[in-house]
Amino acid sequence: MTTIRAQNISIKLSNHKFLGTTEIIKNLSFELKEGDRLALIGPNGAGKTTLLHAIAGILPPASGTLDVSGHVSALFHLSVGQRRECTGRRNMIIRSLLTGHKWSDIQEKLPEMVEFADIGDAIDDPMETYSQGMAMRVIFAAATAFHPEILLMDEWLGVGDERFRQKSGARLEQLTENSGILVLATHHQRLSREQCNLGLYLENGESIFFGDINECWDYYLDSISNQPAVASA
Amino acid sequence: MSLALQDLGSGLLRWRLWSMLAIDDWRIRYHRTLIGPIWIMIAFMAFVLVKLLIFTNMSSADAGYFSAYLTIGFMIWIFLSQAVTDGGSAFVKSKNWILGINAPFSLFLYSVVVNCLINAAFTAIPAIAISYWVHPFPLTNLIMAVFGFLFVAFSIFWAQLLLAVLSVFVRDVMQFVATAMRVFFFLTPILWMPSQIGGAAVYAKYNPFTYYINLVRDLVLTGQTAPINWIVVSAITALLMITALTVFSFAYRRIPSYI
Repeated sequence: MTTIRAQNISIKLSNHKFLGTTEIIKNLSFELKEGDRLALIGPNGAGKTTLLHAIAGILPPASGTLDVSGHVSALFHLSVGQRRECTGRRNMIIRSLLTGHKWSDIQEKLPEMVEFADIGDAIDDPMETYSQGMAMRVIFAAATAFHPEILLMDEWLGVGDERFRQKSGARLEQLTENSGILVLATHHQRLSREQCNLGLYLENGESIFFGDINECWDYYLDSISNQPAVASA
Repeated sequence: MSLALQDLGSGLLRWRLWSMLAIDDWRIRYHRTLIGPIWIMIAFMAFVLVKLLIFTNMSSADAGYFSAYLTIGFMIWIFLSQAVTDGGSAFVKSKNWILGINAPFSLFLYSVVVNCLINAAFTAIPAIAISYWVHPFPLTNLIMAVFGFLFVAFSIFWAQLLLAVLSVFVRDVMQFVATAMRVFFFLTPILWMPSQIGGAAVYAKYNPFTYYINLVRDLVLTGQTAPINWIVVSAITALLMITALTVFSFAYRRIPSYI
């Protein structure tokens, strides 16, 4: 059973010279079950990306409990692990190994990844010879080759030229449909209303509203319209 | 303790990944060079020849034996120095990976270990050749010497783990280690023999690196080593292992927040 349960979690980060931390997520609780599609909304610096990192298992909570049941795929930091001196094919293998997939599964999926990236013989050239679009094709093909139970995204991905954008868009639709739970951090109102059934409005690391996506957006829009505008210099 | 042990175990099982990362790192270092890793051998031979030119004349010991003593000692020192400095920064240098992907931290340490071992293999070739040329020894000595070297590498792994964790929390640790290694190079019997420096031999006696170097060097040159070398290295290994595992366990969940 695919679930995410967060109970009074707080997440702290440090950028100090000697110990000392700042609390980014404060006392947050929510629960997601199979079929839920959650949009994380809120202003920049609200803690959306930090929460995604916690669900991905990258940042453990400093307090509270966070139970994540199901194989997680995090579609952010896609370029992590990329080695420009290595070939596109080698990078696909390393990316897949890094995200915890078995060697035999990778060997099985590799031809499909190469075909999806669709960059021809360049797949066996060093990535430093690629254009940015070609590099993104390779990375996207490897990152989305496996169907996860829990899919995490920091904004909707759009990569490559128009033809590849349509192709990658269709794959993302398919991934979100097939995943048990989707958590999407976004500023995109229309997209999140279409893709998600739940919304979590975060501000300064605290949960302001958690519930139906449309009610969440209405609450968020109301609250920002009531905030005083920043005086221009 | 369980999370730390689990990390070390699950990281170890992903041997295909850390060995690939190490090999790639190593290939990238020599990417587009004409002679690639042969540079490791050239650099080693250049340093050793210069040292031999100067220090053999200053030493009263048999020139052949002293040359082999210096060459093997320097080879082991290069390994120890690289292992400690690169291993100590293994987590900090992998910050983007640790904050980007949920993977065992130990992956990055294992990768550094492999990288250091590959480098050691490349410096061992000219080191053994030069030593054998100036002071022939039975080549069967190398069997026990390899065993001794792997024991030293196992011991240093725990120092690498300890330093890698500590430097996440206090970045000055690596600066301190780099400085200390430069000082210890001169306090360790590599360019000199304890029997030649009178009262100053005390620096060798209370210096842990002396025993690490003696263990392997004696095995290469004479086929045996004094029991004190095994005893001291084993005791330090046990101490390092307990300390590293305790610190890693205590710090484990805080590493991503502080890195």
